[in-house]
Amino acid sequence: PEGNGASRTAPVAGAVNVDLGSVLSASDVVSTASAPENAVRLAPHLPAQDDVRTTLLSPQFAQAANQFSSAVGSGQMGPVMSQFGLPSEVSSAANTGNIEAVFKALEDTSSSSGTTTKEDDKKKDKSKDDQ
Amino acid sequence: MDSAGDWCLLESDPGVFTQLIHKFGAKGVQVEELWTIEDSMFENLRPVHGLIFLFKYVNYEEPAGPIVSDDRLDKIFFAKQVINNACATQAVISLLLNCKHPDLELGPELTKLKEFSMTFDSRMRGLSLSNSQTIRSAHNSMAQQPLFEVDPKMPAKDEDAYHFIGYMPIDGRLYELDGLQEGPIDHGAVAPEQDWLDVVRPIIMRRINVYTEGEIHFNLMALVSDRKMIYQRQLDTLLNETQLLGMETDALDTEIARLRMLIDYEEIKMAKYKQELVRRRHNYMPFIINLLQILAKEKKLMPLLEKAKERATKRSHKKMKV
Repeated sequence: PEGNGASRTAPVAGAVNVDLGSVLSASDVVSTASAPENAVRLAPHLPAQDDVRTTLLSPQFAQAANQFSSAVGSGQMGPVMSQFGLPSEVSSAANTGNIEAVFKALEDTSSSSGTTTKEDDKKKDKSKDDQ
Repeated sequence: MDSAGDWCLLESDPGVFTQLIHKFGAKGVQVEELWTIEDSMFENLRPVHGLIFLFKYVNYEEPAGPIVSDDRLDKIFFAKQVINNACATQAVISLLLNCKHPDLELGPELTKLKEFSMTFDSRMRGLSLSNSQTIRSAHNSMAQQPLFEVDPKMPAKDEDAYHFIGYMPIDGRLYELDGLQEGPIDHGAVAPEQDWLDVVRPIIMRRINVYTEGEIHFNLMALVSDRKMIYQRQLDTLLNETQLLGMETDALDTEIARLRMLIDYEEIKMAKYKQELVRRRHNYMPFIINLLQILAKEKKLMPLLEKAKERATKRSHKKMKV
């Protein structure tokens, strides 16, 4: 009932309109994100007093996640991705407006995840030196 | 950009509206959602000061009654809607400024607005409302935070076109306050011994029936007296009575326990509203990025996407059948 497809921005060929909010509330995501090591990493980014599970299942998070996927679909997220220190492959995928490409780039680059984080740290140190 | 711009879209949620009212500085009232307009719904909500009806705006509707144009306008606060997204706030403020119930304390900000704008015509009232810095920032503080600055040229989703209108009794008559109309709509007299909710019920029912047939989304909320305050008042009276009589009966005990439970319930509800606001105001961007990285590392992103695509295809097939 929400909206009539006509008012949506024309989808890029091959791209899908993904409801990221419901994708990320799947039980598999909840259990993965709640695993101790991952929960520790996510903890600083949670709303005060919420845990990983309540966050993933909250309508406010779902709304933010949907906003994220429609922003990716609009092809505007490239610069934001690089701001968050994601590899250039991810931001160029984001520039195409195809979320599948973004996810793929995220997975491809994360196999060498160790080096990415090191590079990020290097970048951070460098920017500190610059100041 | 002029100062009246930048009004965020508000969710039609009783928690949002209740906190919004408190942010304006008004006390003694809260907003409750109604899922029916049957009399039983109001049993634990009276006194009801006004109703807020929200619906997806489709097109202009002819007024359902005569529009007030005489000197009643000097006494009724009616403001023309100047800005789209402000209409939730405008509906709530119209109810508050026209409410004369002793439970409501308007507070300095709204009192000032009322005194300042009552001499204006309805368009100027709308302007002074949407120009109020305090009201705008209170309104905007209730909205979901945008993940990042979005391009304003991006087409607005059609869910943006919601419209809020108010119904309330003023000086013995029932009025509909719709900022898109030229003035308040007069729905006739409410007799002194009559409950105004009985007068408004058929009017709302007619509207609901039309919208249900047209599959138009709507929502109904009530402006009521602060529930905790009411229960506390009743509790104090009872406790006084038991003290005066110097005896306690089982019936009194049960009633006291019931009121204490209701007070607890209201406190829990307000705490829940606060937490929901914390979530609404939270910037989820870093969380989303980290979560996606975690899922990517465990190679779970692509399978999740595949599943979502399957679901989307199924959904669109279903839609086509309809």
